[in-house]
Amino acid sequence: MTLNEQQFIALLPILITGATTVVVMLAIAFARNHWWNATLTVAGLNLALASIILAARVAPQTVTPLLVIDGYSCFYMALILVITLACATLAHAYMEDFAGNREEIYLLLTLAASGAMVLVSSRHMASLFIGLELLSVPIYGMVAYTFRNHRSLEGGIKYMVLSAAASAFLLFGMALLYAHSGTLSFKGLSGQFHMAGLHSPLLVVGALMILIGLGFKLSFAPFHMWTPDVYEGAPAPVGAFLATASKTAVLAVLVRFLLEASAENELAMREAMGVIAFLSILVGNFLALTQTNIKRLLGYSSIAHLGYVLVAVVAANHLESEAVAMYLVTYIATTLGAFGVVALMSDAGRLHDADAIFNYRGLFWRRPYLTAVLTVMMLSLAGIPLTAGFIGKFYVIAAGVDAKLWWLLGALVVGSGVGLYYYLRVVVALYLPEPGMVQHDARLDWGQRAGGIMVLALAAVVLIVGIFPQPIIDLIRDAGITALHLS
Amino acid sequence: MSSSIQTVAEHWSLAVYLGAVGLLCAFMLGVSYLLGGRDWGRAKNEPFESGVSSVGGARLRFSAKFYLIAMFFVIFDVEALFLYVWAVSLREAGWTGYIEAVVFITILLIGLVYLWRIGALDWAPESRRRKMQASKMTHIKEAE
Repeated sequence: MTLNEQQFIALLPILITGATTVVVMLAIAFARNHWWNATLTVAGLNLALASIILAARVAPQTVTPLLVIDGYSCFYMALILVITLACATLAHAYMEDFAGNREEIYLLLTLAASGAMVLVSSRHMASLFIGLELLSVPIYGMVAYTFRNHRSLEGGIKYMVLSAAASAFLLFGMALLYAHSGTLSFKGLSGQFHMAGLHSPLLVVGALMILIGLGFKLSFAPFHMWTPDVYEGAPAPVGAFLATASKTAVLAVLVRFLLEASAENELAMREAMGVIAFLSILVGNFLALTQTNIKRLLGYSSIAHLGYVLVAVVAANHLESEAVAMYLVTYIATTLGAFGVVALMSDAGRLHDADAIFNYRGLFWRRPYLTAVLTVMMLSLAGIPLTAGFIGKFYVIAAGVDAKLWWLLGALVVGSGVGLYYYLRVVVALYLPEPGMVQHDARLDWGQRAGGIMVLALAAVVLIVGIFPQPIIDLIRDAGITALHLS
Repeated sequence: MSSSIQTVAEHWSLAVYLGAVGLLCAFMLGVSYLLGGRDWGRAKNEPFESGVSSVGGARLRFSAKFYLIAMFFVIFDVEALFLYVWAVSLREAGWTGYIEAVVFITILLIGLVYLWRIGALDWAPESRRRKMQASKMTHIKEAE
């Protein structure tokens, strides 16, 4: 099979991201210069982002049996590239004073991004697995990047071992599906699900094992144990990447698998996902209550948020992929912003990140604008109106009401109520009078540097999406996400 | 109907088999515990007690270089396998295959350049290398 020109253009975003990795590697070999290497990475990623416009023109294109570049994958590839760009700017601010090699984090970042892009455009189990591993393996390295901090090293090793176990589940599930159907493409499996349905234990068990494998990466409730430790250990920019890009890509491929293989018509699948969503919302929110570490708190809150998204997936109606995309956009902007503030407050030169809530006490009196950003992010995470989080939650609830999932919606309401407490607790700490101990602080000129500008832009995005969401809704519709149902 | 009976029978035979395995293990351990002789000694509880008392710990420190070599093997030798596949289908793959192989080899080459430049190919530990550099400097100074 040879590629024609159109397929080549469709693949451009992935190819450019891959080439960026190689070029950055060569640049590091040539001369170690933090600023240059970061700039090269950002330039490459921007080029890839621009090439999505070209790719979207020729979409949909099926490239080999493994990949498909359609509106859906173009939208998610753009999201992933934006996240990677944001994390690269954060990493640049964060790594400035790191004692070891600072440049390799960009290498790992772009590698993980190309894995995530393969993942969102895969239509075959083989490319799903390759994409997932290409996404995960660099993340192990990134989590343990500041390895002199033993929490970072511990987090990296934990994530690696548990992730390997999850991959084993995923592979075994694929093997079971293959044993029954003799095919690994999503479309081929779709026919099998239609024919055999509930009567084939191999299919049901296989699909559930795949759900477990992917659920681990998404840190759904019974598979969430790793999340707080890894989030706490990971350097703040890496935590941002882990909480956004990794989850976006895996959720996108999960939704595509469910829709294209029509696996979600399986009653067992939907019930399992319902239970997982219910547990994730409650476990995430209740365990976040007692956290004093803001990274752990964000970890638990990500468990809860992914539970909210899963409500829309369980609803499985015409709103599903639109609601998922909308919620993910709001969640990404918000989480990136929150981790961004943590990253700006910390730097890799110190042994620990500024991750305890008391590090933020009285921040308002020192850095009022940065505090405003964090406040907006916390309010958006809590889903207060006029922020992006509200629009996302509104979509999820609309999808849930449409499908009459009352018990899941009940959990969502309870979870949101509980969530308000711990999000506002952080906000309260920001405005408390200063007790006179300044341990961690952002640089004086944080607002004029790339990371600071990025965080301010994210706050603007969160507010704009919250007040005037129509453009982004149109974008999601244009991306043909709703068309997935029809195909 | 008969097939369901057959399944039940199969399950039963598996269950009986598993039970028998457990019982056999318990029997062998239990009987030898009850009937076997017992004697105690200072070196009896050591891992290598076959007549020679052990010396030193088992926790040797290996140079991490060996792991590096293992990694190089995985990176370059295993990836070279792809080239074998290409080599046997060289004519069928045509110019497209050639270009793809060139891209593949170029990436490997860049990887090698990277490893070389970050000093992964230097065999001696970094501390010794630094010491050697320092002693060379003093030699030069003495010569002057």
